[in-house]
Amino acid sequence: METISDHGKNNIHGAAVLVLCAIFFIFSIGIVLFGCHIYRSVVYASDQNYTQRTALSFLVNKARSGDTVDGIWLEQFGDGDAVVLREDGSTYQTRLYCCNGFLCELYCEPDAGLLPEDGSIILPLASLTARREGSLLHLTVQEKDGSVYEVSLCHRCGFDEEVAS
Amino acid sequence: MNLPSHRSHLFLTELILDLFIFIVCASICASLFLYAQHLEQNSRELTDAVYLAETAAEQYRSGQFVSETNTTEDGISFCISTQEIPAGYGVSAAQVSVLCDGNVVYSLIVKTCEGGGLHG
Repeated sequence: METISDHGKNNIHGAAVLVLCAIFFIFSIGIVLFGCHIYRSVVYASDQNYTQRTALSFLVNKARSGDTVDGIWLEQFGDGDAVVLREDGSTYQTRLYCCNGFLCELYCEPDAGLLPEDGSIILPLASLTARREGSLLHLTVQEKDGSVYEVSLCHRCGFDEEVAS
Repeated sequence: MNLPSHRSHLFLTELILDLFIFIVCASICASLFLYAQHLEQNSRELTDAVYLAETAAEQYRSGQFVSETNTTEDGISFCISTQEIPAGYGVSAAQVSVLCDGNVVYSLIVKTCEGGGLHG
């Protein structure tokens, strides 16, 4: 037969079990929320890193490949800046610019009459700004979340002074 | 021996043991999460530092001498230092270092012909 003392012990055990379950529950929720927060921040930073590296590397490598005499200049194309590259001995031009939230590339003849929307999409990017300062070409890209990244490169063969804006 | 009370003790002991194992596992997971975040931050720092060093090197090639402090989008403050180092005849060279909190994150050596031509 259960005595009053036993009844009290059972109550304490029941309460201890409840407290332990509550601690277990709180820890579980905590670790899940913590993990989600870290995962989200890592993915966000990884995306930013990818955009920065891909966009800047692409632009820098393209600009270096067009590093010939009068092989590179800047102009307005659509509603933003465009970096225009011309290969040696070729009439075709490569335009790098931003259009509708994407970095685009357009390879065509100068008088082909193609629009900014006709270019090939490279990756999502809000805007591209290019400016010259002596022999330096400053490239600034802006992501859709407002992050701004920039890089400068020294053009070894000089800019096309006639058509550069 | 009181059997229900004994069972209750066992159940309680098992719960405490389970909770202890869970806390150990959760601590390991949390440390892995934090390590992943630390790696990601280092990766971001290195990417920023590489582009800052590249920009400083290109500025040195164009005739500018750069030593400045630059704060990136992430709020990380980098110190860019350009120090000239001895080079061969007709060549000037400099070591571009990007520092964060006094530690060198990335450094490179840039060389340029003094006559105006440029080298890698």
